[in-house]
Parts: sequence; C-alpha cells; structure tokens
Amino acid sequence: MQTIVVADDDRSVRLLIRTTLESPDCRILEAADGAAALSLCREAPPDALILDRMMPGATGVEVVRALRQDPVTAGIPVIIVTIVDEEAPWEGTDLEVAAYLVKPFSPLELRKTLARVLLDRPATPPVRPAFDAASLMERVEGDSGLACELAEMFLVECHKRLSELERAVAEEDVAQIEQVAHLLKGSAGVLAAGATMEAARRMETMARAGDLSQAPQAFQELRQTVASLERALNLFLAEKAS
Amino acid sequence: MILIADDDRVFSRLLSAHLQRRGFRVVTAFDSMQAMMIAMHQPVELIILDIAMPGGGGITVLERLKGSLKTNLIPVIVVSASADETVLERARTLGAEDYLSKPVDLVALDKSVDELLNPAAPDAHHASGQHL
Repeated sequence: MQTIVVADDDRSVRLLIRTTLESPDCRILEAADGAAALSLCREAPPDALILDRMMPGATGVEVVRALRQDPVTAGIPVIIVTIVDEEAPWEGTDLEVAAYLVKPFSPLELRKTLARVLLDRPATPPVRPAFDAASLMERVEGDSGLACELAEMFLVECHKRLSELERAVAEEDVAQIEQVAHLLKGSAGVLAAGATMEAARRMETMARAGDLSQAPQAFQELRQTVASLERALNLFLAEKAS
Repeated sequence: MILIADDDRVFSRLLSAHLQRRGFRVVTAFDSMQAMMIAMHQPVELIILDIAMPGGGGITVLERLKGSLKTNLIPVIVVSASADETVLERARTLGAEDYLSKPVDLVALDKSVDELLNPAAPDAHHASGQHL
C-alpha cells in the first residue's frame, strides 16, 4: 500500500489527483495548506508528496525546506505542481525535488510522473525511529512509570536546553555550547534517542574544536531532531497512558 | 546512602530509580556546590560523580572530596560520556576508585557499587567496570 500526500489549496485539484491515483494499493491524504502537509508527512512519511508551488501560509519552497531539515521526512520525494513551467524559484535553494507537473496536466501525465518518481526513488533507508522504545524499557527494567517519568523530564528539560544553546550559539559562547550540548547528548542517550545524541555530539565536538562556522546549521539540525523526538515521546506517553 | 552528582536530571533519575530498587538510599545533586554540601554533611557511603558537571566541574569536586579529611574515604565512581584519557588520568591521580562510561551499563554499575560498598563480598573481584 502506497501513501501519497496531496497538498493544494484548490479543492478541485486535490479531487482530480485523488480520483486519478486512488486505488486499493494507493491511499491519498489531502492537505489544504503547507502546515497540514508538513504535519501529515511528519506523522507518517508518505511514499511521495505532490505539492502545489503556491499555497497560502507556507510556499512550496518553505515546505520542502522544512521536510529536508527533519531526518524523518528528508527523503520524501516531492512533485511540484506549477501553473507555468517555472523552475526559477528553486534555483539557488539547493532543495531537491523529484519532478515538476505543469497545470493543466492530464491524468495520464500525472500517473506517469508519479510512477517515474516512485521508480527513481532511491531505496529508502528504513526510517530511524526518534528513539528506541525497546531499549528504553530495557533500561528502566520494564518499569513503564519510570520510562514515562524520564520522557516527561526530557520534554521539560529539552526546551530549556535548546533556549540556552540558541543563546550560546548567538553569543558564540564556546564553553556554554559544549556544556549544554553535552548535557542534551547524555539525556538523549538515556532515552536511546540516537539521532538527537548524534546531533548534540556534533555541536559538542564543534565547540570543543573552537570552530563555530557550522554551529547555526548544526543547531537547526539538533532542533529538528529534538522536535521529532518530542513527537515520538508524546506518542509513547499517549500509548502508555491508554 | 549513595550520592549521585550529575547535572543530567534524566540520567540521574534513571540511576536513582535503579539503585532504590536495589534497596539503597539515594540522594541527588545537580551541581558541584550541592554535591560538596551533601558529601560533607550527610552520611554518604558512595558517590557516583559525573565528571563534566558545571560550576567547577566534576574534577574540582573530586579534588575537594579527596582533599578533605571529612570526605576522602568515601569511594567515588566517576561517570563520563566522553572517554577523554587526560580526564580519566586526572581522575585516577586524584583517587577515584572506579570509572564507568555513559551510557552506563547497569550491570557493571551494580558490580562496582557492590564491590566498593562491600569489599569482602565473594563477587567483589569480578566487577566489570574499567577500574582506575
């Protein structure tokens, strides 16, 4: 079963795409704006995203940039729907898109484009969970209450730490960056949150080496991994509560 | 009573829950000053010390603990997320009894704790931590 997210503020375009592609093997999820598209992609990365270039709220460029920054959604192939054959807005953004579809397009064109994109798609690496719940449960010796307590502690702590880190990056305070990144790395390690650990370690290493040239980007990456981790922890907490 | 001195509250809570489950009384300190105050004024029998704590850092705490007649006999297990050889060497010189790297293997921790609190126990010589 394939899942395709269709993001277009024009309901009739969404309907056209749904009617063309929907089948027992292909599920279509609709989003009327960029924020809704991002939220669907983050909840469960689809096989492809068909994205209108111009939407109210967030433009296609902004949606793709946000997708590429989050390790969970970075690999989603994106098909951009444009009114005219206009690739210019993407130039210089280094944001990769899989294909362009120019309105008006025929159902056949749409099917062909999607088939090609899905075929061209590199073997997607298995989506790495934001944290390893099984390892965490092992660590707490099966004590769900303790696992939830640790998750909640992290959710509180991480905001404080990210604010401290953001300030330290802005002030180029090497010692503080090293300290806070180290701390986040440790807490993420307890939760078996590999991606956050690695992102924090990168920042810690940069600070220790005294090279902050990549620190703002590294901070954004860390923030994205923490956001994914937050979502995963909230899901975990909701599951344990039910 | 075991003192856990670590600014990482998540890690600290995991360790204290584990040790409490094993029947130990546990106190926690989240910075160097707190750690020193507790070690000086409470009946602490063992300290698990994060070497990368802020406010002077774990090394300074270790230096003070081992330099004070009031606390120098309390065994210290140093924990650290970065196995920096110079830091380890320094901890060794200052008299830390054991070293465990983060994420801490709880089995290794248990062995180390048991050995340091009860040196005569039969299993005492099989601790798997990297001894200093």
